[in-house]
Amino acid sequence: MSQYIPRKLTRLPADYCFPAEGDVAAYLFSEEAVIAVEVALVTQRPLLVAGPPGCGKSRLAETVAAVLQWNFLHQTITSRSRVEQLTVDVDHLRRLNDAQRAARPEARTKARALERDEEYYNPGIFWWAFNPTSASRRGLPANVGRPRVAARCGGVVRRPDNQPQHTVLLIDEIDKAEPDLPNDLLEPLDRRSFGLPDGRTLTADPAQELLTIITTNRERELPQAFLRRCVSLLLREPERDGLIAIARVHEPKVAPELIERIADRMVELRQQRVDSGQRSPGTSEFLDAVRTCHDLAISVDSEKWQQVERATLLKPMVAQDEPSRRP
Amino acid sequence: MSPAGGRRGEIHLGELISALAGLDCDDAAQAATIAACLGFGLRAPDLAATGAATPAIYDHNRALPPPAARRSAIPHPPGLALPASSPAVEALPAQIVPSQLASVGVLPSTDSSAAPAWLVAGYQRLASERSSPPRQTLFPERAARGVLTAALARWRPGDAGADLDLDALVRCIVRRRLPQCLPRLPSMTLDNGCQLLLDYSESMVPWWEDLRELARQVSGVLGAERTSIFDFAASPAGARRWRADREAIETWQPEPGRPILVATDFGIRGEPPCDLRGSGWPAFVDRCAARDCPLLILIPWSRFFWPKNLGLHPQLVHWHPATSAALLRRQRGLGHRTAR
Repeated sequence: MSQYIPRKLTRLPADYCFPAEGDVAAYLFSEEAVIAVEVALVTQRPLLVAGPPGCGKSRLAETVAAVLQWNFLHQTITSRSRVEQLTVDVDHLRRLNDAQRAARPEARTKARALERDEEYYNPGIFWWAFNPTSASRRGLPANVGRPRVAARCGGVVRRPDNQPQHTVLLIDEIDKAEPDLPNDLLEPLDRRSFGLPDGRTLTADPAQELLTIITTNRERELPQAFLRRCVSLLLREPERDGLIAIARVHEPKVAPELIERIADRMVELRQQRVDSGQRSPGTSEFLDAVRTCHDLAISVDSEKWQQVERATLLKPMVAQDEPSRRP
Repeated sequence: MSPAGGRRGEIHLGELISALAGLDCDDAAQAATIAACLGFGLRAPDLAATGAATPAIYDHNRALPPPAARRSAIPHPPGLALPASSPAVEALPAQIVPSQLASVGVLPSTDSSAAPAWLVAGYQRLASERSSPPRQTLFPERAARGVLTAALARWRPGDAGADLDLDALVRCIVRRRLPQCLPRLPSMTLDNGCQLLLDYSESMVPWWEDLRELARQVSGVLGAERTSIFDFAASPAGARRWRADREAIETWQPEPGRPILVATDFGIRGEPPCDLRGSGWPAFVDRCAARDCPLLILIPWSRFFWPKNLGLHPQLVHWHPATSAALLRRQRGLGHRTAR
């Protein structure tokens, strides 16, 4: 197969190695990842990225945003995440507090906030991605003044104000959510719209492009209806040569011999772990070992290596922890 | 192509065509990769499967490795020593006992062509490549997710739901009382995972395939890390499993507050309701109740056959394709006043 030439990720160098830029660290794309991102951009479908922990799923989204020079928003999913947190949530507590204050005789003239429900809307990342202008106003119409408490959104803004706010949206670790959440996300992902508490529907600005990247460690199965709406990418653990290439990109100052020795040891460990049914160390843990050995001047032959290996790769407390003992 | 406003549904062949056209791809291997991303072709990754290894069960016959020899730093105290657990192997005598068996010499020829015609003519070999008919599992794939969620979800501790309980709030306000904190609707969670105890006794042989499927379905819904799978053949209290490293067997212990899902037929074999007094089941149920472990028992036989004397703690559920999530919610009393 001849090397794929990116059509959308035009800022990506020919060797697929995106150099460090600002807060974004260097990232070595695989050809499969480049193609999957471009397919998601062309079809305007969410990209579902699966793979073992530490293989670079989340960093893929961050780097794609840097390559495209798009804004970057992200939300890490937990078992308590709800679709309202990702679209729009209502701050009932603040509203109740305002109602009590407004009920006092001396404050009756300051009850302006109670006239508009929108003041208490907390926009989630889908709202910020679909229409950041509306989100910053909490959905207040243009003929009404600005909200009393300005809404803010985390993330990286790269687009100038006068240009469409194209966005890469990362929904991280969706497999941590309760089983209903992926189905709840079908509407915002599929229609690019969602309902507001007052009955209006917020729809994405068609002038703005959006790439949604969803990651999963595959701890739980995802619903078929959800999977069939996503472009999929399975990131595998890199082989020895891939590990060496990644380490050279991330740690250019480290001696190549040291990287190769640690990569060899990593391959051996993986095989042992697979044979014994235990968790294998990931790429990020390999990079930790490389950094540790470089900074502390420890070679793989030395006695100290055993401790480094235990601390960064084997992690016996994690690997041998009994899942049934988890709270 | 803007998706805004309209429902797009699942990925279809037209999108593969537009992707190939949009990316101007003329390399066959690259086209195959593009197709795989969209779920077409044999190279498409199977993201539906969990990345976890197969649960380490179903193999009690495997010999355990000998325990690692431990050298004690403390010398043995003086006194009587215990006898050796295994006697030393005695050497066999060098004498060879004479055998009474005599050699039979050359065996007569067994030419199959000499077989009578009636023996060969009526013989018809069954086609070995015939595929078996599709098997319907007791919890069909389309319903398993909802059913298991309804069966295993527990209340979040401390009424920690996120949705407001507007009924309670309005009741407070009309009485001119300000609530100390906002009342929230309780919500359910699967965070506790479950212990899955599978009955691999002889009477369950017709459902062994369903047991394996159930293990896969529960791991898929809860996550492999939250699912501890044990199997047993006689008493559930004696359920066991391989440890994660598959080098030792672990015996089941109830974990406080963690749901327990048992799939068993109680050895019914189509007989009228059996009396479980005297079996290990009542003690097992008491043990689960003492540790505050919700206990759900899936039974492949209909209600008529179920045992009557297990008390109120276990919830018996018919393990059947007709069992629905709504039915389970009603049975567990989760039908109303929840955030979900």
